[in-house]
Amino acid sequence: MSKIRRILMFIPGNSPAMINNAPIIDADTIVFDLEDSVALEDKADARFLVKETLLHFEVPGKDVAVRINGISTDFWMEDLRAIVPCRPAFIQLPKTERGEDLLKVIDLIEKIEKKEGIPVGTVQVCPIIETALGIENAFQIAMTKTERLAALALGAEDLIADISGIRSNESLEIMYARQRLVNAARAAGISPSDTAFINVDDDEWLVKDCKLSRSLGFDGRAIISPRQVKLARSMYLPSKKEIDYAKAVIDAIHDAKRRGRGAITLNGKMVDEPIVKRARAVLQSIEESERMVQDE
Amino acid sequence: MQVKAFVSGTLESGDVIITLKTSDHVSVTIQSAVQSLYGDLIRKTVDDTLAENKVRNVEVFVNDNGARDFVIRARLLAALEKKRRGDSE
Repeated sequence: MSKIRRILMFIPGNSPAMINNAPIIDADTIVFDLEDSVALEDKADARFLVKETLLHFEVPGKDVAVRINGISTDFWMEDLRAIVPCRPAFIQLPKTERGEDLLKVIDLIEKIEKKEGIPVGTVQVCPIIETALGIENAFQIAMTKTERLAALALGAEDLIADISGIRSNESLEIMYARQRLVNAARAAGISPSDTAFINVDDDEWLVKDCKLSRSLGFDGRAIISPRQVKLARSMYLPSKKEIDYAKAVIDAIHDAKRRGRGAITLNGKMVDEPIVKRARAVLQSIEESERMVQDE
Repeated sequence: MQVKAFVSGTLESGDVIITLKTSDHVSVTIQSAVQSLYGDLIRKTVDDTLAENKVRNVEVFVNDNGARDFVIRARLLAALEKKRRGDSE
C-alpha cells in the first residue's frame, strides 16, 4: 500500500512569494506546479525556479513533489530532466490516459536516475486522471508499474469539460469518476487522492465535499489555497467516535482471544473480519498522522 | 543595431527581474530596495552563478524586489538559457 497523503498543497511553480510560504503550510505534501498555474511563456522560468527550490530551499517535515506538464506538450521531457535529479518524492503526471503514457514517463525517469546515480525507483509517480478515457482506463493505469506509483489522483475540472458535464457543489457530475478511480486504486493497492475543491472561500461546501470524498474511500485531496488546508486535513482524519470504536473493536478481539472465543459482538453487533480490518486501518492512520506531527 | 535582451523573473514581492545583454565582458548592475544590506550578497550570487556556468560575455541587470538567493540564481539561469537559445524579449 502506498503512503497515505491527506493534503497535497499545490503551489504555482513561478511564484517565489508562494514558494517562500511552503514551510508554514500544514500539508503533508507540497506540490510545486509546472502545469496549469504557469503561463506558456513562463514555462522555462518556472522550471528553473522549481529546480533551484528543490536544491536550495528546505521544506521540513513535508514531502515535496512536482506536477510536470503532460506528455502531449513539448515540455514534459525537459521538466523531467531538470526535476528528477533533485529527487522529489514523486512526479505528478497530468492527463494520464493510458498505461503507455505512464510507461513513457517512468522510462525517462529511470534513465535519468541511472545517469545521475540515483537508486532506480527513488522518484515515484502519481498519475492524475482527468479525462473520460483516463477514467475508463483507471485500473489499467493503476496496474502499470504499480510499485512506482505514489497515488492515483483525480482531476475534476478538465474531466468535467471532457464529459460535457456541468460543475456543481454537489459534484454528482463526477460521482462515477470518483468511484471508479477509488476502486481502481484500491484494487491495485495504491492510495486514491481526490480532486481540488476550487471554491476557495466556501468552507461549508468544502466540508461537505471532503465528507463525501472520504466516505467514497479517498485518503486525501489536492488543495489549491492555504486557507483550505486545516479544515480539509481534519476532514480526512478519523473522528474521535471512529477512533473510540476502532479501539473498542481491537480490545474486544484481544479479549475474545484470551477467552478462547471465536465469534464476538460489540454493542450488540457482530464483529467480523472486515470490521477488524477497518478498525486497524483507522488506528494505523492515526499513528501515521501522529508520526508526521512529531517529524514536523 | 539593437542589442537583444534576455529576461527572466517578475516584479512581484520576493522575486527579481534579471535582464541579460550580450557584451564583450561581464558587468553587473544591481537595483534593489535592500541594496545597502544585501547588495554584496546579491552580487556574489550573480558572480558565482556566472562563474559556475563559465559565462564571460554578458551585461547583467538585476532589478531585485527582495528575492532570496535561490530565486536570483534560478532567474539568472533561466535568462542564460534563453540567451543560449536566442529566445529574446
